[in-house]
Amino acid sequence: MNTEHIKKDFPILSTSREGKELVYLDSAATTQKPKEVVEAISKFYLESNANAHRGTYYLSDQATELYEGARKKVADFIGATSADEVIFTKGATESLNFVASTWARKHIHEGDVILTTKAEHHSNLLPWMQIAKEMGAKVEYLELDDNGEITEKEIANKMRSEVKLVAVSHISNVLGTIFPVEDVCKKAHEIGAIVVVDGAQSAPHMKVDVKRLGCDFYAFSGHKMLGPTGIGVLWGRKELLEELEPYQYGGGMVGIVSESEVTWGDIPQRFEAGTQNVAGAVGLSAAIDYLNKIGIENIHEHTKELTRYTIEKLSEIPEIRMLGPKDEKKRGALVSFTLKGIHPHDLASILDEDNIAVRSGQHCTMPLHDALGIPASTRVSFYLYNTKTDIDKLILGIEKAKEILL
Amino acid sequence: MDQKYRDTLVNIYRDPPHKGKLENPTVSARTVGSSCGDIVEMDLKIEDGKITDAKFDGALCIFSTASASFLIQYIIDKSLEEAKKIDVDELIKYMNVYMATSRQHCGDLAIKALRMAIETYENKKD
Repeated sequence: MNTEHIKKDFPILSTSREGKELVYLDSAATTQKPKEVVEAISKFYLESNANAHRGTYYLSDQATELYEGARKKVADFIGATSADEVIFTKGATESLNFVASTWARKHIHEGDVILTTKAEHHSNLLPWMQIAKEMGAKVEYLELDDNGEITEKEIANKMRSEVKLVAVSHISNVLGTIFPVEDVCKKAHEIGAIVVVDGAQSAPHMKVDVKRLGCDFYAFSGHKMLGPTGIGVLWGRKELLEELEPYQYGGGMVGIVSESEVTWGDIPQRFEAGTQNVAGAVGLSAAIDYLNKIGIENIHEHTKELTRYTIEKLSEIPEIRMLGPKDEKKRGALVSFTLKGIHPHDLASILDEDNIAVRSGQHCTMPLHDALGIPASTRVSFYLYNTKTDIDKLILGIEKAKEILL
Repeated sequence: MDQKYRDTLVNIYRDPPHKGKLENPTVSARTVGSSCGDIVEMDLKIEDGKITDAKFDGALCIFSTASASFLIQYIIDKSLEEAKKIDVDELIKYMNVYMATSRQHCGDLAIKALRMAIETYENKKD
């Protein structure tokens, strides 16, 4: 993988502020976009724009074919059995809310348990807390060990017959831990529960095969994998999707409508009311093409090495406490840490003076930060365009912050 | 619509084979197109697990009419299992016409009616 060559595809990475080139270390929040993606969106609007699934004319057919082509591409990318199992949403957040509003509202009853982990992003926690409150159900948590991992024993202990739904992230957006989703799915299915996986941090970074994972729903966002904002995916097992009521109501999702009766359309259209984000789907499709061209396994290897290097370098700074597993093989492409005596926001601001972009705060995981006993943390995250030079600049920036504030 | 295909389709549309009602159908089904409002009614005569005769009726566009007509031509003398298998891509191939993306649902309409009829029949039998 030639990172210097790849970097040229991302014009924003050659921009400078006050003579300092951008060091972008916040891809877990959103990734930068290659020219190919921006150009595909632009080309769509300039040459093929029309309402998909609506018009009986050439241009509308073009839009429909691009939109459905993107659905097929997503299906292949995650190993779905059929494109009908892929629903386009605004992003992982909407995908997870979708499952809460449809499957959970139908199947979660009083006294049931929704099992999740202490590490979840609010988007994979609040929908479940809310639906539990509405239905008189309870949210329980898989606890993390000192390494930020979930043990087999903990999974086995928490799987009791009241558990009807398990919501787990594939990779923690703070700890970086790759959670044992296959094991969770196996044990959940043994007690008749379904598993919803938040794949926001895994789909962009590792080969995902929803069938091999054995999950029932898998959610992710386009903008975290080189695609545009406003497009995301919910994959669901066909049998489960087919029995669900619509999530929203409007155009394009019906069978027959009369003044007093309505029948719903087939999946996935049943779940896509109104004019859809065709340009977003086109952009996501171009992003997948780009990722396939480089190879998702190559990207995984590259970021794993960056993670290893970052852990090594940060270990040399005594004031640093890193979160999550020490072994880079057990983690995704990010490292979160605290720096004793310096608030994460202050560190981020000092790094920003040198045009280094990192994330600071609670990263939408307040219960996790409570459990870790820290108010906030700093997170650096990587993608295919990052280099060891970026990490070296980060380390220099941290040293500078120490000089100023300690 | 491509001129090459238009003549075939228009000819069928004007005088479609297999249009009408069966006198004593084994089973009937009706579907309505969600975006176009076209209605297909499908009558099947089933003997020994085989479709021995079929007719379609309804208010239909050129594509739906031609598809329904060709579909019946295809399924007569086929087993229920074989008849269930045909999908819109195969039907278009069989018809040897071009159907734009936005018109493929027209081709699908009669297939849906056929599947619904077979399903009704099989459920009744059970």
